[in-house]
Amino acid sequence: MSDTSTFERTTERGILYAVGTGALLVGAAAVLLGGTQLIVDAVADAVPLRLEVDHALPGGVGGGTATLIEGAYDSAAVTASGLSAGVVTLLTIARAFELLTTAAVAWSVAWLAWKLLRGRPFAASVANALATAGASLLIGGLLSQGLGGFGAWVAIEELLGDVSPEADPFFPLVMAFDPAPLGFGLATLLIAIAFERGRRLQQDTEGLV
Amino acid sequence: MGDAELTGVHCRLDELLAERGMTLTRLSEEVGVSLVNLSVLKNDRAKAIRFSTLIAICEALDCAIGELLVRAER
Repeated sequence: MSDTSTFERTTERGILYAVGTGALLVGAAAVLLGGTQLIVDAVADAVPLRLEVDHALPGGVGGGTATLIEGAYDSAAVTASGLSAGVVTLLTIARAFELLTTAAVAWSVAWLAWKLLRGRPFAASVANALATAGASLLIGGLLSQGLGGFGAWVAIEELLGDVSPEADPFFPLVMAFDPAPLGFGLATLLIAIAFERGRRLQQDTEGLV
Repeated sequence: MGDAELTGVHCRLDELLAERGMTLTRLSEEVGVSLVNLSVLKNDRAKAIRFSTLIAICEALDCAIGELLVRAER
């Protein structure tokens, strides 16, 4: 019994240390490496973009025993140069929101892991951190996708010139919207509310003998 | 302002123990409440007490609830 609980405690602490350290590293990488890359790209006039593509696969794909029935490209990773300052700013802000969202989520995960290690998970700071992470996911997800999508549209116009549907541009003016960050944001806000309720319950039992 | 003044309740555990010549450790063993919790109670730092704890202490000290807990001067 004692061996089992010691094993469980050690495993739990190991997991918490691993998750906390991993989250800290991810957050630091987002801010330091991602931030540096953002500045380098903006200064070097080489802006990475992920553009929507709607083209069939080239012929001759295959040759094995299985048959490719259908397929299409749906996006292309490109690096653009010579974009107007406005577009570069828009895309840079969109990427910055993405990085800040990652950093906020990573920081709150690290803080939760630390408070769990200290045996005080229902602290006001944890509920606040989770609420911040949830709000960041919602706001950051919306802004980064909105600004990024709009920036990509303008970038396509500057890259291709004629983007009318009749011209059948290689990069069509469509915007992919991923609802996952919003869903995760709402879920994280719910967790933050649960932690706040837990904090109040804990407060009610403080000093109880 | 002391803790008893904050809660408005004073615990006379110290006095009752002294009258009976009993130690806190002995009481802790008899009632099955941790020494830490009894110290919290004794020093008027408790904000709430379970009925089970209250009855166990009163039984061990052979006293009434009103002898153990009294209103503190605010």
